[in-house]
Amino acid sequence: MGIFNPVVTSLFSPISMILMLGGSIMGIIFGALPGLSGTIGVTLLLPLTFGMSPNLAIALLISVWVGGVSGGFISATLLGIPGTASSVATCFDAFPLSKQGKTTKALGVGILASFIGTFLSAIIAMVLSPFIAKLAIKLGPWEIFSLCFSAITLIVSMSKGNIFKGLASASIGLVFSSVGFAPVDAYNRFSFGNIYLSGGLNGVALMLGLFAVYLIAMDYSKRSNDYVVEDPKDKIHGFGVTFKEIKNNIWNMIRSFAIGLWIGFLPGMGAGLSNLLAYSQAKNSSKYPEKFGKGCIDGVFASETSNNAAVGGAMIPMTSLGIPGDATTAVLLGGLILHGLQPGPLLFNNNPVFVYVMYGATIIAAIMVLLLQFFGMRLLPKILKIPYHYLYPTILILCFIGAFSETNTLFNTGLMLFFGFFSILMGWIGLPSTPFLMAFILGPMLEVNLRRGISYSTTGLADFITRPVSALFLLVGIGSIILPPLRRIFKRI
Amino acid sequence: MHKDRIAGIVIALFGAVILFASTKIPVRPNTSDPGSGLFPLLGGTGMFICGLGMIATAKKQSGKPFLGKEEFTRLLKISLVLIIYVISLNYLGFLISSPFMLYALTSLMAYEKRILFWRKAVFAVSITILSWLIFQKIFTILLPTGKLF
Repeated sequence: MGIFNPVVTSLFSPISMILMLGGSIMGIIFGALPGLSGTIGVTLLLPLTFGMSPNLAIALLISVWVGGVSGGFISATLLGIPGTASSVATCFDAFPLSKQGKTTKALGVGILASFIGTFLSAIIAMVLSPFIAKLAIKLGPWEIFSLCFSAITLIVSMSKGNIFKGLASASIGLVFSSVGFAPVDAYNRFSFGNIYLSGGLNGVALMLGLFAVYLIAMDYSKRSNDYVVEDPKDKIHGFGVTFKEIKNNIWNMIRSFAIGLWIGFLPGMGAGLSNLLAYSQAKNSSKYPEKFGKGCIDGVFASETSNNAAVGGAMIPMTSLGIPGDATTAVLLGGLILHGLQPGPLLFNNNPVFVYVMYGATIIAAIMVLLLQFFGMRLLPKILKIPYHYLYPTILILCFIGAFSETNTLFNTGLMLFFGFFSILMGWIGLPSTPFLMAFILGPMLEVNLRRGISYSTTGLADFITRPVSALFLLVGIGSIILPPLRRIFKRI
Repeated sequence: MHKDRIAGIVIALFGAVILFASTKIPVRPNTSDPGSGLFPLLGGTGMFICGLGMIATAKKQSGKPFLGKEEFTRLLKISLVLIIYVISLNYLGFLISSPFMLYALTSLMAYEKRILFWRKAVFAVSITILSWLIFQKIFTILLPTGKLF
């Protein structure tokens, strides 16, 4: 009861509520704009919080983060362009739903799943943080490497047709991710003396090229801007989702939530990985996997529950160990230090009010984002009524700004175009782009943990298979590649 | 030759080049670290093997081509506009290049539909100014000013 009153007073003061509302709106806008993200929003706002008390500052920053993660699904649904890496898998089904004239339904599923993910993960983080943190210490580079490996192979196994094409796409992604200074010894690889390449290829430029430039260039070339705008007579009640649809997705949401919480909790990973992994799991365990990618709400439930669950997951190592779970928590940790707080196990003892204000702000921000998106849900599909000769050039301008602002170099805008053309080439050959993206995102993590795993071990590579958790992940990864072709062979026999 | 086979050969060749280049990356002596060459070596090997796999499993595809002649021409047009835009951003900056790019793209994407000149011009200029005000002034995100200015 001792800390309850100061926490409630801090959270529910008028200034705190106004700041959180403003932060949530800003976060949703940043998340929805291609190329921008909640991370950029938090970074931009950080200097403005120096004059505030730590409690007010963290409430504002957390609401931008929560809004940013949730808002990413808006452009994924309306335009097929993920606002952030955390919404890549949302595009697969929410966008086809939108093309079928079910935009409000797709948005409703996204809003509901986002809320469930953030709200529950924040509560779990608040209750279990000190206990779960002890688990994290036991995970070594072997387990993290094997998890990343299995995440890539699970995505490869989802690619239709020739498995070699999926694996080739992932291999190209790994090669692209190794451009620039290597981890551990900072050896400069494949940069050909170019200073821009030395820092590595930028992920935002890659994502914008792969999705936005590809989509707009192909839609224009093929004249396929064939959206069905919703009939205003078709009234949608509530979130546009039936109770039966929610009931059918309970297990899907629980599994996706667990994946999101777990991935978010692992240092260095985050919503960018969790949404793809949850989507692949939802597809692989579905009774109707053929419907995925064509406008199946199960895919939207999986992706949005998991990416938002990563918010609470990432807060666990941040508060209890002082380790960032993703890029945004890294910025937030920097903010805590600037406000004179010491993140880590002692934060619970020295500043318990601050810790619970942080969790409370996440829960309140989740509710605010839910309400803001619920009331905006019926207005958003109107974006699709804008003629495409006005909408697409505007989106491209935003993409160019997004790519430029990421590194403040025009090289990044050129890189975005390069990846746009590269993805068109991949489409022509028939290489799936998701394994490429996944391998690119996870490449640095995979490499650093592989090298650490070998360096720390006295038995070379043996620890990767002798440690039970690592072996389990490797088995899942290898099994996901080998089993589908074996199953086909046995069926023929 | 078959499309999958050509793609397989190109991927295998690139894989072999990366594999070879990775072996040239030095390993630090007296450490158990496998070196910075290991990871690209794995990626290159993957590309090489998968390229060979694609050659071996290549099947003749039937149906519609990826892009028809007319579609390919349109792809070239939009690519040209975007490439010129990136180059002009470098020299002329955001405020001068963007209206031209927006105007060109609006004209292209309208296809046969005729849109009045002034409408396209007003759209191009207003979107440029609006995005400049929002990003440069409100979000304090610097936009390219151009080498010539």
